[in-house]
Amino acid sequence: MTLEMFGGVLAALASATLIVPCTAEAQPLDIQVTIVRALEAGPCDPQLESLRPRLRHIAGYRAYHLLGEQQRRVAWRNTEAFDLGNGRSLVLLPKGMVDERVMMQVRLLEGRKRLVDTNVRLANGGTMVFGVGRDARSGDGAILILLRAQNSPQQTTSSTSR
Amino acid sequence: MTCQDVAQLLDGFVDTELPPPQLLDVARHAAICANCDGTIRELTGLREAVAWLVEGVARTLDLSGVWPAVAATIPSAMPRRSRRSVVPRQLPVWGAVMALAASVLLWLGTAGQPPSPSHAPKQIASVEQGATRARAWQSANHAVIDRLTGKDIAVRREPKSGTTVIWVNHTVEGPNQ
Repeated sequence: MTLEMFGGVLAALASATLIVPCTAEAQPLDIQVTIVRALEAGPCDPQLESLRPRLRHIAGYRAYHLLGEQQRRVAWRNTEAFDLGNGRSLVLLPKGMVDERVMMQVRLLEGRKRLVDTNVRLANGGTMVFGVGRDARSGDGAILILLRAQNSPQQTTSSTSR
Repeated sequence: MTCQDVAQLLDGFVDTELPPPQLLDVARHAAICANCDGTIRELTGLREAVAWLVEGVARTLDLSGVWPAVAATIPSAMPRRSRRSVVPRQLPVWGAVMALAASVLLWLGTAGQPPSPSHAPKQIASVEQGATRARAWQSANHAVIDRLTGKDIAVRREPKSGTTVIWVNHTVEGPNQ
């Protein structure tokens, strides 16, 4: 091997080291947003039947309807907006991984109005919930937004809504 | 060094806690004094017998269920952390079990030989492993909120899974309706 070739190999290795991601943040982040309508009475969607006891603990309502579900693979430090319908949107800015937690800014908007603006650290693969509505005792119904974030390359990328 | 001096330093000698020059002095004296030598051997034998006995008891103890059981008690204790309800109910049972386990481990770690740094990490590791497991279980859906702004909002935690809920007290109908 000549000196030039050896130098070339070294340069290639150095470049590869720089390019190959070495942190968890180099892996894509999978976001799942599930929109659920909570009602005081009526049937519950079969897809949500298993979640019903937990949702009841969270929201206090008895019936739950799946309004939509969106799964998206998002890039770090890029703002992503999820349309929740009814003029609302969930805007995420994933910032990084800290202690196996996904650190992100989450804004829940209604039109241009910010209902919630928060910085959270969510356990990798964990789910948190945003609720919009009056107390279950008023019986007006509520909207639940289930937000799940996972820093894993195995997840599929798809988008569905109904 | 006299027999009286040795009698005063006996425990320190057997535990190897004396400074090296004193250890040597006691050993030199024991080499020429059959009485002190016998006392030292007796004490060493006694310690070995106790260590063997405790080791035998420790082997029969099944501690595998301790941490899962401790972890299982955490969610019920977390929402209401009043001292009245937590301390009197849980401390006698789990406090006694954990204190016994810790005592046995500590004793085994120090019995029959000078305390060496290699024993300490073992004990710490087992405690940390349990604590880490409990923390992981507890924080699966638990979000840490660093900053939160908004009008008429409340943060809740679902007691069973610890799921974090940010609730906006607001009419459901959006601006488009």
